[in-house]
Amino acid sequence: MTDAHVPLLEIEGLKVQFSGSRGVVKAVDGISLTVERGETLAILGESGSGKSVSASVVMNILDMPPGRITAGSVRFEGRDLLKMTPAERRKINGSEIAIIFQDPLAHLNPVYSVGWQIAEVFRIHGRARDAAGAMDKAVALMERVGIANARSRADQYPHQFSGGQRQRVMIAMALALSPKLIIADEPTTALDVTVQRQILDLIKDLQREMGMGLILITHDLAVAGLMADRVAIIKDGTIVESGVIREAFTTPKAAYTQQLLAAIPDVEKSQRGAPETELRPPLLVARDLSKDYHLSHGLVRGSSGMMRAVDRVNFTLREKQTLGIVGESGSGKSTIARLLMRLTDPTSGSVHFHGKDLFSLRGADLLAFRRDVQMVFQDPYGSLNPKMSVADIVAEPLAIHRDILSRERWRDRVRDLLAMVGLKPDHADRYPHQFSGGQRQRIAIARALASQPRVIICDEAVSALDVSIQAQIIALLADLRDKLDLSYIFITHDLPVVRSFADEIMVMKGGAVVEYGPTDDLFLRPKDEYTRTLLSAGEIPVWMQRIETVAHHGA
Amino acid sequence: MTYLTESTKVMKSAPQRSRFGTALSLLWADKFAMFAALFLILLAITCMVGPLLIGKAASGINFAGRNAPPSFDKGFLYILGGDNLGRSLLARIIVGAQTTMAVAITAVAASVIVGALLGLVAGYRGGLVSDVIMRVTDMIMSFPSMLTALVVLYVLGPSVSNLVIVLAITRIPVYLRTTRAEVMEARSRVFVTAAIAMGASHARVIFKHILPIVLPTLLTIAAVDFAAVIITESGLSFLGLGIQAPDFTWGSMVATGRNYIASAWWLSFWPGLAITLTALSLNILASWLRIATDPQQRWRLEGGHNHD
Repeated sequence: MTDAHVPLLEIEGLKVQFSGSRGVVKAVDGISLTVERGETLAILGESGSGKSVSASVVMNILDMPPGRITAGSVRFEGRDLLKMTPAERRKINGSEIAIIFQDPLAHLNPVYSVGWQIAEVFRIHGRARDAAGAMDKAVALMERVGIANARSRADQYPHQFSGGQRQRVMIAMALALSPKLIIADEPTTALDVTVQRQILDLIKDLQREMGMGLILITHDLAVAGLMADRVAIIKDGTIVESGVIREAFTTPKAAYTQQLLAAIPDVEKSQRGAPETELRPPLLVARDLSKDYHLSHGLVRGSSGMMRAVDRVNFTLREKQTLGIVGESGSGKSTIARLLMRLTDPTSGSVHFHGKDLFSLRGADLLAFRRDVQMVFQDPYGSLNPKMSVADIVAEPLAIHRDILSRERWRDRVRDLLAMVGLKPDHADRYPHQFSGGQRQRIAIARALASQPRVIICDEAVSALDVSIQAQIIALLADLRDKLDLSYIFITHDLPVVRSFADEIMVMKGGAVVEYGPTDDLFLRPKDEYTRTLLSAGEIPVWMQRIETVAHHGA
Repeated sequence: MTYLTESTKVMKSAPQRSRFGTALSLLWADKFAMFAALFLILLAITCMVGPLLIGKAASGINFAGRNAPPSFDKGFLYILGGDNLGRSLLARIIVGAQTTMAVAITAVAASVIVGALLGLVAGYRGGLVSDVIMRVTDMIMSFPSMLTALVVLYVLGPSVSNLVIVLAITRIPVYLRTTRAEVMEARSRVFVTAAIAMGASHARVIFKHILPIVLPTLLTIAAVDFAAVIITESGLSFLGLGIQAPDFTWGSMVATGRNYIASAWWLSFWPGLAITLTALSLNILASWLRIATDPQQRWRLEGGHNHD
């Protein structure tokens, strides 16, 4: 080839190792990929697959040591980035290659105004005549990324912006110097679903307008399907499948791709309780449940306001059923969990458990309630005491409620419980940090089961987990419900996740219930506008829905 | 079940050893900590039996041996030299260890216990109780500690027990504030919420979940504080408000030797070295303890092999 075509970015045989006190880990093990101008490449993988490490090599933000690039080249418009001097790379970073991070709050400096921080990009690269000129450009950019009243908001600080707006600010900073390549590292993972869709649309628009290449790093198949032209699926530091995304998803060659596709929450494969023949007896009944929080603004007392976190909520959880509570952040769903666990008292309203008023329970009655209702938390890293062995953690309900089992039988019970949640009985002697996120969530479930509860409240119990692990945990919960006659309240922001699992769904917004009914009615005939927005935001692209049903019918 | 195989190279569960045996093997793995422990054991034995064996030599005045330099010629009692009244420095260090340790250990222990308890209450309860405790602490802290000590000792009169009380009071704020801050942080951890939701009593939450998180920090501070307390005590003794002759401590020995530092350095040097070695040993041991009690760090002591 004489006039050889030079791709925008070409990574060849990249290998990155991390050497720590626990030996050498090959985070990236021979990755090769290319991105053309105006094209979107999705790098798809679960946590620890090495997808973010490869991006940090391109941006020169890899921590070295412990990281070390052992082989490969990264060519940007034909020039090898790895052979450049730090000064040359700084010139390219920001102006020709820019990155959008997952957590905008962590990457914005809290003590400078947002406008100042965007303007800084122009100043650093000498693209503005003076401070005022830089500020004007910053304001124009903020308008372009859809921030209303950009002029006055430019003087505000990061904490005064919502998550979605902060991500818009990050995008503005990335776009400041019209880069040729944008790397978006999980740009919407920390955002609510409806906001997520808006941000993705914005990125797509801007990309089309400016003809940039885009590398989208994500764990979310739907996001990849929506955005990307081509996909590279990474597992354990190597690419297991790559190519045009529709082909890769429709005719997956690698087993791992098939596994990922199978983990998409699936309508056909219902995991709900037994079909409804007669109405089961109610177990937990909430009536007009409300909770207000007092807000104090600033230092001056008296200027405090009231925030209604939960607004006259009614629901009924029946025996052996699952109630899904769905809402975005600030919808009041987690406050409901706290109320039901008696971690906080309501402003008004009541909850009856087995006909007894929950909020008047005291002493022995309250202790009995705490035995019957257990909770599984979102963060499996935070909910297990790192200083306690797995045996002590799982046996904790037994230690609190001494009448369940005599002490000498705890050990056997713990081993049984671990087996029940798919762990090995030998794991009892280990400590939480020795387990993966999914395994820790299994430990948390084993602990919740120890006191033989009737109800388990799962507060975003699978949200922190990789998609394939999510599916396993949900299958486990469904299986346990049938075996142990459990009822669940399953709180989540992710509608598709509960579809196969919940019997009834309650959609919440701003503390109030917007729609409540049987799962199928809600999905097939949503009555409320907000429910429809949520449904369409969480939807996977139409072409992917097709391949999915084909794949499952074929299986 | 693929999810099990991913990271389940089950570690060889070690044959059930006793807790003491495990601790001993973890100590063996850190040679510095082992020497520190040996030194402290030696010190403890010295404190218990030293005065009985060598008490007379420590108070035997010998004007011929005034400020005698360290040498092997005058017998083993004068290996480290003699003090300004010709008493054997070795004997005095051995005998002085008992009072020094008694004062320092009680003072540090008292301030850790009182500080930690008040800090636990302030951090766990919050509200008015916390405010009152914290403002009193602020008051104690805003006084120069030497001034507090002087005033209290002047009013109560100098004695060993009053000295301990004063030393403890001036150190309490450090433990109290640290404990409160750490408790408040630990309280907001999800596993504490989880324990409360399971019906755990306050006592269980505090002693099973919060205290184990706070304790290593407190022990580390206590080890550092130990030397500070010995020095403060010597300062007070020097001002005539601490240990009074004929009683003496390492600190008061350093203070006495100060006058002769140009002509006879060994008067201050040997007791000073004893203080340093003790504080250093405690420090090393405290840092070993912090690692040994932390499941995430313990592998460093277990031959460094990988657990995952």
